[in-house]
Amino acid sequence: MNAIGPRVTELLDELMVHSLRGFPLTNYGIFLVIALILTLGFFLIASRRLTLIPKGIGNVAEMGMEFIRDNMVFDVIGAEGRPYLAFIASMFFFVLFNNLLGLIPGAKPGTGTMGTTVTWALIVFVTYNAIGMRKLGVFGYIKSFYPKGVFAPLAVYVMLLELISHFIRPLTMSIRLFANMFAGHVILGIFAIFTVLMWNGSAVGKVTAILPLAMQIAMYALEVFVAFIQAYVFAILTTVYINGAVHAGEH
Amino acid sequence: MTGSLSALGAGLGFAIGAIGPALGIGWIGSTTISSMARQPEMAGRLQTTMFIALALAEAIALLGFVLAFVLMGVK
Amino acid sequence: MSLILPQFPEVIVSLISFLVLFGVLAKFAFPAINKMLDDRAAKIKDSLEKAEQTRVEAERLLEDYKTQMAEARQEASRVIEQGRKVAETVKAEIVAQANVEREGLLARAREEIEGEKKAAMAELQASVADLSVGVAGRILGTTMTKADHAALIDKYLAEVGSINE
Repeated sequence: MNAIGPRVTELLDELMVHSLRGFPLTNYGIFLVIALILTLGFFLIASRRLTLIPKGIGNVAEMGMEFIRDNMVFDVIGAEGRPYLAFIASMFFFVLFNNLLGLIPGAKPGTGTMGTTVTWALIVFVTYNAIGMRKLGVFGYIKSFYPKGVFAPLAVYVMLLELISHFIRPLTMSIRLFANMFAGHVILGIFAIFTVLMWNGSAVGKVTAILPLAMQIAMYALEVFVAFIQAYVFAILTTVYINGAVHAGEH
Repeated sequence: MTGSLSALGAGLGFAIGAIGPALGIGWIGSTTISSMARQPEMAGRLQTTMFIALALAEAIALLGFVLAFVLMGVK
Repeated sequence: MSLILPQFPEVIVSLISFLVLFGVLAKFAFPAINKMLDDRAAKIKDSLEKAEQTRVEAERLLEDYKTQMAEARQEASRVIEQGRKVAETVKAEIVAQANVEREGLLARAREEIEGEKKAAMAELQASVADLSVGVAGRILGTTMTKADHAALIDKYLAEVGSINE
């Protein structure tokens, strides 16, 4: 039991954000840049390999794009969502590539740190508010939070709640993505520690080590699923917020 | 000793805080399934709405998770 | 605490990363992919429409062929019917003509037979009369008067005639 404590501390230290010596990047930032290169490479190659009869890498990119276009943007916003498709698709694929990159043992997800997720959530926040303001004007957009035909003090209260919920959005968005990625890695690390400790502990442990190992494999499968789900959730929330801004003042 | 107490507080806090979102996520899933069974043609829209609701419920659990890590740092 | 508070270098890196990614992909990759998706959708729609057109055309042709076929069949049965009618008329005519001819032949034959019969009868009458006169004279040894002869012959003939009848 004594052996676990220091190892967990070591694991958490490893998962904390560190600056790399002699390098302007942190330990997460470097994987973020790798994911950036991979995403750019994937899409630039895929967009050169498009064929009318779908096949290969072009088909994969098209399927992803079609999913975002039809199941997210057109479903939620409708045909007016077309100008925002590139933004939402960039968000989705960048988050997805980061999440998946982090699942390679030894690598970290670029999205597993608050710095990244807060920045992106703020980009989304700024983007959707800018869309709303461009549509209604700055004053008109702020006025659209004020519910019409409601008893005045109540309307102010509702407006206040609305504004607070809007400002909380980037916070929940960033914490959700970060915590999912981070927690996944903590869980994988802890089961890895259990496995190693059991294996090294005793003769019986060599047999029982199969249990945390099996759990680790199951959690790894779950983490692959979570990588997709969180990218989807991040992108669908972006879509929903943009939808709210596009249709602001219409309800 | 204070360190292990804060670890205990963090663990308990997250465990208790996770109960509500867990129930909520289960409930969201079950109602979505029954709605889909009743109206299969709405499945796509229901799924989108379900994921948004799941994300909202999950955020509460994750806030607890982050809070637990913050508490663990308290000496 | 470094877990929760965003680190400034990361903010910069992730901001620049996303802007670069968005700029490059929105300009070079996504339009091509979207265009391909639209093209394919248009192509599929086109093909489906063409297929539908072809199907309609084929159905129309089939309908035409069916109509023509039915007309041809009707025409054929009409021709056969007509042929049969003509044949029957001809047959009836031939039969009628044959009947007429047969009647004529029969009548003529009957007439001829009748004539022959009468001639034979007359010849027989004459020869029988002569013979019987000769025979009677020889038997009687007497020459009968012409009146006696005549009476006798008539009587005989009447007898012969009654037999013949």
